[in-house]
Amino acid sequence: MKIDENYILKTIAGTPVVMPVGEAAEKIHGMIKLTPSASHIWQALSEGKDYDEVVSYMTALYPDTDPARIKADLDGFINKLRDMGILTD
Amino acid sequence: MEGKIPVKELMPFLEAAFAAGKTFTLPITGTSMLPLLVAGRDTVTLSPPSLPLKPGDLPLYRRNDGAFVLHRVIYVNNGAYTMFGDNQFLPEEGITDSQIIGVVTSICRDGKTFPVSDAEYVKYVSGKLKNPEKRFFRRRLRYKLHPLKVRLLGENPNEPSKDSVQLVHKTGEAAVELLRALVNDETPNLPPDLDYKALYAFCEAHRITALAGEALQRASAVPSDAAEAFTKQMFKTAARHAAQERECQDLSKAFSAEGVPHCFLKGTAISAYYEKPDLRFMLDLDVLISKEHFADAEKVMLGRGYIRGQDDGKDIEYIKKPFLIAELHHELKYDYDPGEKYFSKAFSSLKETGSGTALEMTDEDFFVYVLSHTAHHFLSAGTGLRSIVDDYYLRKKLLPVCDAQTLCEKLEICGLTEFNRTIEKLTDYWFSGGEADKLILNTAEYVLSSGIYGNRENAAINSLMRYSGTDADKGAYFLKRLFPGMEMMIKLYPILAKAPFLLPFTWVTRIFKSVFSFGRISAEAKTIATASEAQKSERDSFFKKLGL
Repeated sequence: MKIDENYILKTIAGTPVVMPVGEAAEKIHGMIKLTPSASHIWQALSEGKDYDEVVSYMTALYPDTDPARIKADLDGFINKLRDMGILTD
Repeated sequence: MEGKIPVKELMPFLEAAFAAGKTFTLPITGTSMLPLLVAGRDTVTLSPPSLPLKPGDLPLYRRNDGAFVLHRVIYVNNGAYTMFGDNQFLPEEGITDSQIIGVVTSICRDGKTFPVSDAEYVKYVSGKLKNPEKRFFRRRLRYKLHPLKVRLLGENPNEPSKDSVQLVHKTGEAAVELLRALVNDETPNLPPDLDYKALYAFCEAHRITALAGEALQRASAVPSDAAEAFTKQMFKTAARHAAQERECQDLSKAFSAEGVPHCFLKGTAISAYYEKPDLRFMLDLDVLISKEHFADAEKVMLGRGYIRGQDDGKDIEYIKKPFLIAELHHELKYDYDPGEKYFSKAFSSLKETGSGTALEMTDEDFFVYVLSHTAHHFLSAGTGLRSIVDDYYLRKKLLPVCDAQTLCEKLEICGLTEFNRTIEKLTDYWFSGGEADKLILNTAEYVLSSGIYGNRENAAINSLMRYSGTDADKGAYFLKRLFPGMEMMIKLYPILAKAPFLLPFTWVTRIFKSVFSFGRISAEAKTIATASEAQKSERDSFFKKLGL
């Protein structure tokens, strides 16, 4: 899984946001606000972690959360990124 | 926006109305048709279009990406329309008949309805059809020259009341406190009766809103509307910066692929020294290109979708929607720039960065270059707080890696030794609790009362100061303003470089055009007429103490 390099994660005023740059800025006007957990997933994907590694990473970050819920949230986020053309295999 | 119905959802009703031979009333959203149409106040009546459209028609059309737009036809070329919103400065080309949905036949503006055949409206439209491509430059110039005092105090910047002056000082001090807290990573200490609206206007005029907003995050008891306004500007500035930063990388790769040596200048290079580069507002990207590679560089720009803008003799502007502006400089030459001579051969002293054909200044040259540019603004119309924050970060992060002796020598060559000392003391006074003597307080006052690019009053007094004497010299000043020399006129009318005999014609054209800037000229005339010998001599003495 690879995040398109035309999308970059920044934290502005304490809020993680994804900003489209270059060619992506011509397709998406504005920016995408992320929740803190989504920004952790984004960071893990940016570092080149594969699906299982991201699950382990998120489980370690959120030990009190049901692993099934973590997986479901991760799947939802990954699907959203794929639909938007931000994440490719 | 709450209560706003997207045009997409209105389409079935519009189609049904047209099918029944009726018109359709559309509420206005957005700002692109200002000043004619105001969102939430005005509506337009649409009828089925009579194709082909003609220049001046105001159609509703659907873009290829599905967006619905109400903009004016400016040109028709081989069946394709070029559209401009009345409040826009970049065209949208290639709109065809198949995209046209309806055309405006009457307008309800501020409660008054009139047909598009109304004589006053027809006159307005004919004005909008004249030189729309020049709107960008007119607007940018107006933006650059808009004085801080007009923003804060209304339309009479020359005679602010005592209360108004105190407001400028109070908001200025609060802005400095926010920057002090920012650079020291501390909580700002703001007065409880602070006028946040004035503070926002002040920060905008100095292009430090996003930086101030970062510090404001840590402040307590900030009104929610003010906090929201500053935060919004932080997001906008960061998004702009991210796009500009990527564009720099892409441009550098493209120049390298074409073998064009290039060096990024000013804000592009300065922001790298900030703790939070994203929050430093950059208007444009500045790139130094050698004259022999300029044609190749231009090919790169045009190939990347930029359109060529103004050529002022030392740099050419390139614009790419929605907000990318790049200036390609072939020389580092500004009026009243102490380092002009030294940097006239800047290109030959650049060093390789190791990345393609990208070059950079030596650390010492870069520090002196930025300081020299600040001095240029001081001598022209003044400069604002952002220049001082730039200087602070360069002193903090760049100076430690500079060779002290080389730096001193270069400052001396450029005549900037004293100015360097003063700005160092000013940053120390504002951001590190240092002491201030009268010169530092005067310098602080000069910076606070200027916007990012100074103000008209400073520009007029500084220009007039160069004409020593009294009334006779005011006359000489006006003559010079009416009939500038060849060098200045070539910047305005590049054709003069090839045909200097046209100089008298361009003077007349310029004077004729200036009739449309009566407000600005009247303000300048008033400043000049009321500028006392004491004011000129005070400014002259101030600059001398700065070593300028």
